[in-house]
Amino acid sequence: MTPSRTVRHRLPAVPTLVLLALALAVIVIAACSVGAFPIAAGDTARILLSGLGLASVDGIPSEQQAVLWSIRLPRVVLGVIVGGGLGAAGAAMQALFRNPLADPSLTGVSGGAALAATSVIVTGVLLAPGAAGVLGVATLPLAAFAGGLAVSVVVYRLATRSGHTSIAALLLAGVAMNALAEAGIGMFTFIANDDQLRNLTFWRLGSVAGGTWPMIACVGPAVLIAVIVLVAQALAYDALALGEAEAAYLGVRVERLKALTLVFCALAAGSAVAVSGMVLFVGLVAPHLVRLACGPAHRVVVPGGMLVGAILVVGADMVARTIVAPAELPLGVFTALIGTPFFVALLLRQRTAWNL
Amino acid sequence: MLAAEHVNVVVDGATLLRDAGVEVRPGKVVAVMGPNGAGKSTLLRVLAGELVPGAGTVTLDGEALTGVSILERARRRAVVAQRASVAFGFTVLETVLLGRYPHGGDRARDADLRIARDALARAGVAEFESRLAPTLSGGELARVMLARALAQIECRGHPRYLLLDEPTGSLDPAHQHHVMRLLREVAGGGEVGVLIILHDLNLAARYADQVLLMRSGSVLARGTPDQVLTPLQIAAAFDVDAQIVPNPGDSRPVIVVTG
Repeated sequence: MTPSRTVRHRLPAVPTLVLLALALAVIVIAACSVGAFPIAAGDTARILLSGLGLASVDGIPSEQQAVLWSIRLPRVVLGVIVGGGLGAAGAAMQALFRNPLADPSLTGVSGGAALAATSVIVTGVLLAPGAAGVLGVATLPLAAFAGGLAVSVVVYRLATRSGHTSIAALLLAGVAMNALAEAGIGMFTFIANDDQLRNLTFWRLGSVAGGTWPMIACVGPAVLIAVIVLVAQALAYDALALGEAEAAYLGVRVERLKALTLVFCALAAGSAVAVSGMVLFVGLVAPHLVRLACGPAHRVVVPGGMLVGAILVVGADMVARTIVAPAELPLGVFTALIGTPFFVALLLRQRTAWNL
Repeated sequence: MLAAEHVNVVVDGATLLRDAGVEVRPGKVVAVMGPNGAGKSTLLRVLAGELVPGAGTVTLDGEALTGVSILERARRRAVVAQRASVAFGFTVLETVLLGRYPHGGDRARDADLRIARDALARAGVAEFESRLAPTLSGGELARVMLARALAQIECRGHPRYLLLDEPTGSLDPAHQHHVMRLLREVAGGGEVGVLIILHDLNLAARYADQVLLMRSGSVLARGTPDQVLTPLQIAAAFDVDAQIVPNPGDSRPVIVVTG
């Protein structure tokens, strides 16, 4: 019996989640502190706690407080929302497809969301200015949610037959959906005017730089609800690891579980895409790291994937905006640079198993 | 009793079951036999509630199966499917603990752990407890899935049912007999009814209380092994010649397929 066939040491669930939450708090404070206008980490912590009425801000210059509240914090909070949403959605999609290669970007769900959001940026306001006025800041997230949901239903239908998901069909369906989304986005880019073009380009590269409080108030609750629903399915996801028919034999209402997962993954991933563009691979990498450390139980992998996703995005954004300061590397470019080798390594390790 | 009566199943225009029926009684082992495509697995899926027949009735302890919630069904019957797979690196113990899912609890309690370990030991796979399930061989995984099903129906006080689709298919002869003895022992408690799809005539003759012989979606014969497994009926079901040969040193004769 070779060692790799038996279980390696697994970190206990609850302490690991607590540790990850603490790590997220630390990186949030660090990300709020560094930048062109540095703030001491202790001061950052005090200013943040004062917001909760837990500390006083005596002696901290008001410019520092202003920079933190109106520039740094919205950006960091948006990073937490985007990363958390993508991490939890990735974990849930992997559970649904019973495969660690599923991810909102690889399966085309993010692409579908991006196409829908692009269409709103370029034409939506022209076609239905009234609707956009009523929905306001929620227009883009709603469109992205609809686009992501449409693609996830199509991809699921293409990849799964009588309860069995073919990973090759899944990835190929993702390729097709991404190609379609690219073509659509290209078309909208072609007809966009100069202002829209600038917006589109930066948005597509992926960034949380545009974080504002109204935006956060809009997508924050949506992502939070999605994450809570997905975490609540953790035990059913474990049963699903045996297969859809077997999960049903164990008492899981599989059709309901599948519908819930597709809808709330699209909500989390669509919201993330609407406010940050294409931040790739977070949904792939985050749950996998948790699985490596703690094993595959979804009551750890889903919330842990959320925390690690948030840590990754906030950390990557912090590096992306400081490494070539005063310029900024696009966040999406940075996460793709990390995520691609990771994806290839996963593929190499498992290609014999799936005959890819 | 878990029973199907006068069941018809038609899928995509093909009739998979025609007026088929079976009764699984607590304390008894029923073997379902027949050539490939006879409808054995379809009948099992009807009993499991996965397929709802177009005609006929399926009842679980006198209640229409469609009226029993799927969680309640899971507490009263377990299914071991023909092909098993486990996604992700769940250990053997974690896989068996999934059998406790219908009995609630958001984490494995000590009682559940004890039940899972006991089931592993009974299925003869206790030494694999810490192995990663996806690294097991087909025969090993089949026995782990049997342990998972045993853990699932471990709750006393009401009848339970175990439905197995060719659990011996990937096992060596020693393990085939071990599994069959285990199933007899499970049924022997009087509270569990076992339905098992088998291809080995001698395993059925030796271990089953009842044999159901199927062909082309219909039931050819049902009764005790002696009544059903005769050369005539074996020929009718499988298109082979068979002889019943006395077995010196054993009261049970041996069925030999001669061509």
